[in-house]
Amino acid sequence: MTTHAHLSPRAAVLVWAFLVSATLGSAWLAEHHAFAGSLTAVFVMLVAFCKGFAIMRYFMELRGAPLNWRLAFGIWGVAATALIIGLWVWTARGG
Amino acid sequence: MNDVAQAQGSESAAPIIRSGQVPGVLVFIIADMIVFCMLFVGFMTERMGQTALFDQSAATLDVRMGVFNTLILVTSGLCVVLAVHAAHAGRREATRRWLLVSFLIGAGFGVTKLLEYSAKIELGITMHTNDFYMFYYALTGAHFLHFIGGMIALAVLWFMVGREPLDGRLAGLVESGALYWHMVDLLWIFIFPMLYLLGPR
Repeated sequence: MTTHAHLSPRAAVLVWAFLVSATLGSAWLAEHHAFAGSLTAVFVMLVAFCKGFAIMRYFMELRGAPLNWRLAFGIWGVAATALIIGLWVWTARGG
Repeated sequence: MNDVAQAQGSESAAPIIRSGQVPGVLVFIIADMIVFCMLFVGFMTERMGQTALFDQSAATLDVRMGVFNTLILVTSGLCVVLAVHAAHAGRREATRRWLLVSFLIGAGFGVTKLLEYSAKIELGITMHTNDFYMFYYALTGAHFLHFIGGMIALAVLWFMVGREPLDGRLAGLVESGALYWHMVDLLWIFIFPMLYLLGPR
């Protein structure tokens, strides 16, 4: 049993502000490819992972869920990001 | 009557996400997300053999539309968080209001997605154009069906909260609907960069 309180409206708005900033930031990065160069795709997917993690942890309130649920969703996030980045890198290196 | 319902809501609304039980909605959500993850792998594997074609096709997608859709979903997701908060506090009117706002903002995703599809179809771009567009329509189409399911869930919950006492059971249903709606958001968070942003623009 955990003692986490519900996410307060104020904290929810802060998480939303992060999600909006990260979305605009990664789109800007993708449209200005020269900034991060060939690693742009990696950065963009890492930002997606952070956004997904924030949604799972705060919006879905998994931070207060039993360990097995936190693990299941956490593994999904890591696996989805790692597979997309891994296959992108493999392709970029001439796979 | 309303006060009784409010008292029931505040006392008995144990959040399902923290219970020791296995909430059915979480099983459904994780199974669905695993299927989408396999589609992601399918897309990335297919991209390996046709990188130039995939990057060229991805560059024709409208990033601003994708960004706008992401902003719509995360904002609608915030409203659903506030609806769950109100439901567990037993505040019926606030719960209904946030569910309605979430629905109305979420509807914007449907409008922009249909505009995007119609623009592509007008240009003669369909599922059969090439493998990239096959995945584009399949992934965004499957996601769109989940979006429609989420919109129906929000509408049904809005209706139920107006008709039934906001007790622990109904607050749990609002939380289940909210979890599903966040999954729609979460999947789009991965689909959008994978389809739109991986290649040079």
